[in-house]
Amino acid sequence: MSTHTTTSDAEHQALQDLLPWYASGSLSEEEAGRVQEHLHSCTACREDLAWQRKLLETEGPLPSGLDPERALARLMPQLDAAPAPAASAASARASFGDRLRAWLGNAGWQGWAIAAQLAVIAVLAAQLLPHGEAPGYQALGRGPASTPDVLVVFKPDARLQDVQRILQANGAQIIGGSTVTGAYMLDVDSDHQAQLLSALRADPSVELAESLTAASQP
Amino acid sequence: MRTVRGMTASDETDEGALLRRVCGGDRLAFQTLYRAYFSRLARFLDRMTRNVPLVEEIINDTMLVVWQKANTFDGSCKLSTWIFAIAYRQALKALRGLDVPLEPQEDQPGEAGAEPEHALAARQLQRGVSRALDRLPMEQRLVVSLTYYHGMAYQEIAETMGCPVNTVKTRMFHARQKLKDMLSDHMEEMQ
Repeated sequence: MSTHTTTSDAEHQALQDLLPWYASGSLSEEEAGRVQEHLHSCTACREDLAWQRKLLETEGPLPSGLDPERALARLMPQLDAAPAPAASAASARASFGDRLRAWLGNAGWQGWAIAAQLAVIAVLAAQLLPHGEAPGYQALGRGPASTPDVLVVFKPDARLQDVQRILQANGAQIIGGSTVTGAYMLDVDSDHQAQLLSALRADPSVELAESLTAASQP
Repeated sequence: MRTVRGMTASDETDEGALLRRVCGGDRLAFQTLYRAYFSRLARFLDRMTRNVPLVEEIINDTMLVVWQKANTFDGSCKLSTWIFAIAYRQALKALRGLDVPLEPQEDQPGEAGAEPEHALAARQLQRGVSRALDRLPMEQRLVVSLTYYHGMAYQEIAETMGCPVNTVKTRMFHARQKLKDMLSDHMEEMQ
């Protein structure tokens, strides 16, 4: 029922579709010019625009109960756990390698002995993982570049609640798996890793549990 | 003009400079960026999730990704679009994790008694619009919110939500129809 005379219906429709962005001032100059011209001759679009402008002014208040400083204070310690921005571009595998090299640099000959041991574990892990790659998904709130700390294989008759109980008790999370051979990759605080490993190894439902990080080696 | 739509080229440059410092691991710059985006993200995420406790969590998840991935921002879109797109994906992830239907929130009890009449009318209108928005499907609601309350161009909304620009326009078209129906009672106040 528009009174436009100089534009086709299709053009009218296309320009009417743009009105919300015309009202908010986010159209390109060229598009804004076309809308403006159309508005001269179209009552329906002028009324529509007035309505849109009214809507635009009704922005409600921010929800109450939010506190940016409290939230920021909670986040800052997580930055320490997250890799430095510059390092995070490297792949998860490379950052694991970097950690290993950094650790070996401080560890002398013992480090190389342990490196040999780690190599055995790495081969084991590579066999267990279909492609030997770090897991591509993360639990919410985890940094995208965190690497698996522990590899575990449960026995076929392991019960879900037992698995959950062990992981929860030690603050561990499954971040990868299961692979074709049934291995899972776990993420755990370095402080809890030794505890988690002994809990896993002592549990009758666990077939195999190995550390994948240098720091936890004795 | 509100601040978001009033964003000038120099604000964009300032944010670009902030992000470069964040890339270098500058925590103070990160905190400045965090504070600059908190309200904007809160408004957007509140409209998306209708769950206030979740909003702060998603903002933190979002800004942690910004911290970790700052050096992958290539300037092919605005920084704000990049950050909102991260927030949108983090919120979708959080909502999937919740696995509960998102009921529209009950209206907060008003403190209307002491308000002058015109302020009261404005507030009633605001509530009416807010309630109508909440009754839209999430995608339509977000397109309206990003357009009207975040000053985003339709191309930026498409980038944020990871969909074609025509989908954005279609969502807006349907949202406008429904809002008009739902707000017919308020039409007089709105003319």
